[in-house]
Amino acid sequence: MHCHRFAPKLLLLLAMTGLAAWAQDATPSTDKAAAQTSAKTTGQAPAQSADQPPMPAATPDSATHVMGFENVKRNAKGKFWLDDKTLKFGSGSVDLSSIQDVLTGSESQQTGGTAFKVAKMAVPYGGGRVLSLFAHAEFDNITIDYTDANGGLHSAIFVMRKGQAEPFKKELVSRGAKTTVPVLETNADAAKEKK
Amino acid sequence: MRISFFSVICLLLLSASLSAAQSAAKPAASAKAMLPYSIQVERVGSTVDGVPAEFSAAIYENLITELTKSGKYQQVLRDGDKRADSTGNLIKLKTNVQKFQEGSETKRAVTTVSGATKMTVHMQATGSDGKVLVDKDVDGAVHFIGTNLRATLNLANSMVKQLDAGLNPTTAKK
Repeated sequence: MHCHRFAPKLLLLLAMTGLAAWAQDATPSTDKAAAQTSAKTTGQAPAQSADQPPMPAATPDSATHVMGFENVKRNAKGKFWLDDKTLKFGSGSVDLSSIQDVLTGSESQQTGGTAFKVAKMAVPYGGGRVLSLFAHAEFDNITIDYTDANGGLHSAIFVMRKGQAEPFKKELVSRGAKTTVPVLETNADAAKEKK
Repeated sequence: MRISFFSVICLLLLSASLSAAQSAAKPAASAKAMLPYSIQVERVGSTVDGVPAEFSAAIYENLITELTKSGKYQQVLRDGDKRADSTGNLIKLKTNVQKFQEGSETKRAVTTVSGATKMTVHMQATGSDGKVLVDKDVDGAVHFIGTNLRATLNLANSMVKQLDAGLNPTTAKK
């Protein structure tokens, strides 16, 4: 009798656990992709010879615009395009020479989006809180301070997969962007710096 | 006969709702009356260590967005904007982070009572004659739902309200 009453709730709890597991599975794969990208960018450099085409820019494969980049909506997802003079993201672009500072950091965020957050609240007996324990991931963020045509300061914040911000900062600085914090060579250095 | 009676009721309801909407719109328009000032937001400073760069940047950007959205200032200018020299009745807004405690979104989601991100800033609005017009401490926090950066949006909202109350005491809530 009791089993029959709790069966739908148990099913819901199991479904939510499955969702959380899926969210967890998605995160390491992105980390793997990030690791592969950084390995490519660091590992291929010595093998490059004079007759080979120049290395593509070490831009993150995707990023989310949090705020501050002109002509781009908040929380817009997209890709950076980098050439010798310009940094583009979505419909916005800035001259690399106008970038005054590039700063990186990292933070832990809940994954799964708004739908998952609402679903977690609906799980009975505090099950949603348990799911929250597993549904989080580390992200890198990059803050780009630049000036517009009138000299006004803009501070753009982007979030990307872990391990992608520091190589991207290195790429920006090598192409003429300024920074007040020196570029760290490896992720281990970045971790040390954070401590 | 029944249909015509029903349609009359509908028409009455429609006209009542339209008049209510019009009367509600009038106070909203008067509340958005422009102040005779332009405002320039300066880069956010800090007197405490360990404030991540993205928080300072988010306070600055949210402040500009919220001030623009309020529609109460002639112009909202950014730090370093050359147009400030030729703008009359300009207020300069300085912001300094005085207290900062970074929380955790996961802690908030799991416990609901801990993991809050809290910050206190000191804001000072100075007129073009150097007179201090507003000088206040403002708090911002995120206690339950949202990322840590949401605290900066709450802070910017409070700052805009405090600024409005300081510059235009007649609109301040009693």
